[in-house]
Amino acid sequence: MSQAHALSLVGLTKRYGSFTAVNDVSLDVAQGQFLTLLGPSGSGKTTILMAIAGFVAPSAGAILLDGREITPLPPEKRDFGMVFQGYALFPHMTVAENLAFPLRVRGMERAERDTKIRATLDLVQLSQFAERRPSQLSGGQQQRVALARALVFEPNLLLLDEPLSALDKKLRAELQDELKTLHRRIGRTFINVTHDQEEAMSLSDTVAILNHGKLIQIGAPDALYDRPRTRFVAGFLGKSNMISGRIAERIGATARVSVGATTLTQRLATGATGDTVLLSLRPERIALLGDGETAENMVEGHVSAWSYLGAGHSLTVETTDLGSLRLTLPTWRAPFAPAEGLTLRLGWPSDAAAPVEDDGDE
Amino acid sequence: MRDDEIQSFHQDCVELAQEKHARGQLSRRQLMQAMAALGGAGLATASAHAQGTPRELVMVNWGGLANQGFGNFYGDPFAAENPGWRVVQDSSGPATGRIRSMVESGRVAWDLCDSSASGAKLLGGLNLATKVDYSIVDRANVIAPVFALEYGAAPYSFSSVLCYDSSKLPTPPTGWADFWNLQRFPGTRLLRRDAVCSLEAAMISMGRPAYPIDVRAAMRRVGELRRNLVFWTNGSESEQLMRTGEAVMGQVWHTRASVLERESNGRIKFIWNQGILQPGIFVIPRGNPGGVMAQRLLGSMLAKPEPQVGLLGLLGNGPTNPRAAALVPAELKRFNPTDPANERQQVAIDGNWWGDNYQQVNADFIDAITG
Amino acid sequence: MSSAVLTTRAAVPAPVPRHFANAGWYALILPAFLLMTAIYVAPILQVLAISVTEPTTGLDNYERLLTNAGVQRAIVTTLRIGLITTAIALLLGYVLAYVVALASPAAQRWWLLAVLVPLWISVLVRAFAWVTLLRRQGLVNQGLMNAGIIDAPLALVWNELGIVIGMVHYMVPYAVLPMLASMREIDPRLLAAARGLGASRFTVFRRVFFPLSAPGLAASGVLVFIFSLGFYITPAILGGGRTLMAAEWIKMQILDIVRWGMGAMLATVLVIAILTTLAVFSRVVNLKRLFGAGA
Repeated sequence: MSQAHALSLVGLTKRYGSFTAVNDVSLDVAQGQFLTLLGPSGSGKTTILMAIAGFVAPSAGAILLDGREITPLPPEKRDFGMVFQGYALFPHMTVAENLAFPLRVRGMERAERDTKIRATLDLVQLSQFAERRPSQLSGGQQQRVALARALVFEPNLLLLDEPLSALDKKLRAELQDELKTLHRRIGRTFINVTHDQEEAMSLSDTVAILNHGKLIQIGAPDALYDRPRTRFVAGFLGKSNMISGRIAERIGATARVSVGATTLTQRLATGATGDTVLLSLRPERIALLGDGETAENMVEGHVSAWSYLGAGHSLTVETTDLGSLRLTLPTWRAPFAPAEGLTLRLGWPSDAAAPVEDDGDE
Repeated sequence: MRDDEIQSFHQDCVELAQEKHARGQLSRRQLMQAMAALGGAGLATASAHAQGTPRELVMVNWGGLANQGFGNFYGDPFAAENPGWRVVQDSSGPATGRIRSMVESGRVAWDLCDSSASGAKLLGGLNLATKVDYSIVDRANVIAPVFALEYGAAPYSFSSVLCYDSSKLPTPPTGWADFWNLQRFPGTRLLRRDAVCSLEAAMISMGRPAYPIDVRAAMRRVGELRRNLVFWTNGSESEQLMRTGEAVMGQVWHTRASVLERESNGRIKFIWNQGILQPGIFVIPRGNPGGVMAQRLLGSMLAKPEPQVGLLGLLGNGPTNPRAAALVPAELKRFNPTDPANERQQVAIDGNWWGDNYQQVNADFIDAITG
Repeated sequence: MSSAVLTTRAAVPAPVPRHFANAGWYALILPAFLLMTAIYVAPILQVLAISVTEPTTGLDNYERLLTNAGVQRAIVTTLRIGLITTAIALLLGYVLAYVVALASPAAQRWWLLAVLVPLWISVLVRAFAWVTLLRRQGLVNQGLMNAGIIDAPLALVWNELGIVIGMVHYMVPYAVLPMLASMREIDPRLLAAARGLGASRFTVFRRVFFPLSAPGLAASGVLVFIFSLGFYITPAILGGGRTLMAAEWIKMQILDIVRWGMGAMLATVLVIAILTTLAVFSRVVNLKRLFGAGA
């Protein structure tokens, strides 16, 4: 049996009355991929997942599994494993019975069932809890049972609806690692939904960013982080300095961008002289320039706020033309004691900032 | 809630009068005029004795219009003759068990209770009732010995008669033998869910004398009809069952039969023949607060024919005073159980037999017809 | 699941403290306890006393449980009608509760109103209304005859069928409420999860919804059954005088035949039967909780 499957959404739309929860979303999930649908609440990510699972009937568009349309299939015919928010474990069954449920409804023999249950419980390290009831387990254990139950019948896809949101931060990090390991080990296609960008980045091969029911950008986490397409993506995936300027001159793939009296050198593929341009500059891409050091872009400013983060410092520097710039410096790169009012010279190369579309969303 | 209990005759009279009044057959004014002629309204009587503190006799009835009927036809004539006394009506419903509970608790509040022949015998046997003092109450004031018992006397009478639907039975039935003849008279029959009168009818239907009741034979006889019987527990139910045509025949109280005959344009009729004539017995609980005055009140109720005729007009209860029948207006004679022409055809109940046997026989009867 | 709520709904007269760790709290309920004793427990004890002293001291009355066909018949009739009523009321109530539980919040309010309104109509009125509907010339028989479904009127009332119809009608709201409470506790995600795991709608109902609503079903069953044992007015009016249930039998013994001992005996037996049912039930519910059916 081929373990991994590919899923495609084509023009998926879901309307509730006059409200459009999902607006013409198309995307492809390759075999064995770990895709995360990421967005704030109300972005339509959960509706998409529910449509994939079969609980929500799309108003328009199609869902294809390995190129075959499954849009009209009821949930029980799709063979997708799903981990619900809050886990949705059956409280009147033991852990083993919870795992047996999907096997039983598929008419599997008892012996085979037991073997599979044991193997899956081993996989999530819960063998010794087989006879417990869900209410006798901790949150993390329940989460793993939910995962085991969703995997035990070797589903076509594994769907995860905010699987870690009910857990505390430490446990969440631990389970993130487990989930990732699990994905690599079993090689199935996972589709995850979350509003937590760190979780999305750390778990996924591909992240699809949604806002107001629309797919804004899809790609590998680093690509999204480094090359956000819009101001929303830049802001949603971590912190960013937004710099708005005008193209003063174009020299090949590089442009000179005027921001007030300052002129920046920026790699820019499109845009003509006179166009306004919005740049997203990640705080960790800004370097502190020592005496005599130079960079393609250099500005001077004074520290207005700072904080110590252990691994580094976070500084806010007020500049004349670029407003306040936030930067983070590894501790070893900050050979001074930061203080308010301290004047600093900052620099970054022409490819550090990314031009973004201004979609009005922070 | 009492509506669902097996209803006694007294309760039913009251209900019937209310129904008549509601239907407009008995106007409030007529009612009041009759009452005023027969001793004045209750309020006037009460104020006449306002100077002294009047002593009270408590008469217990089954509620509704009996309060008024008994108050005006029994209580007021007595109070008018006995200054310093007044008679108050209590409508708690003097079930035998309630009288027992009151006497045994030692706090008797009742003087005269609307009971029954078997109730009187039962209470007397348990030493819960006072014997009627026939030096005060005059035996000569009742038309038959059945109305003057050891532990109670009856100022009124009633009867359980055969009532039939002439639209369903082209040949009119003439007695209890026809009631049991399913070939000639097919259809549902009604009996009261009580051994009293049911077993008498069964005895008579076999061509045997009503008393002494051969309980086993009579019970078996009732059993023969079982599939065709519906048992009623209150009078309006029996009337309804006849009126709506659910039953073709029934043993019902004469008051209900009278209403049916008058209102169905002759569709439903009843016969006095082999009706079971019964006394409306009042008993005095042992240790009653009014003492011997209760005997005097009972004596007064028996002695006055006019109020008894008044009660016949209001509630349908038959008089028991020998002089009353002559006073009954012509149009009421057909419906008076103690009219000589009607009385002759009926069988008087044997209260003593029932007093001795009611508990066991009725329990057996209920067992036999239920389950 | 809401086992605690359910036991309350089953109208347990006085919860028996399992331990006295919180003596202070029990002191607070002392006035209520004394009041209950005075107005509730004392009369019951009195009834118990009468049952062993009337007409003679001893267990003669209880012996009649074994020998007297009348009392046996009253008990058997009561249990039979009680069980039939409970079964039908539970079935109808379950379907109704299921529909209500799955309805939209707005629809739920209307459903609940429809379920509860009959509770405000007197049992007497309802019984007479059934007579009017079910008798030979009643609406049901006339309707069926006019439709040509039957030739002769059916005997729908003045028999046990009539009693069961009247009692079921009375008991359905009582059956619905505890079941609805327990169904509302069921997380709808569990049903979605079950379907996502491959179960058909029917399997979801059978393996997930039904087991999770079972405590409510049990609570309703106990409630309805106990109520049914004490029915009095409905059987008297709809039974055609031929069916005697325990309550009416007791009333007859006490008020009409004045055999207080026998009446008190059956009353005591009834109270014991009810307390036993409750005791068994509370065990069952506690077991459920122990197994973690409710979190």
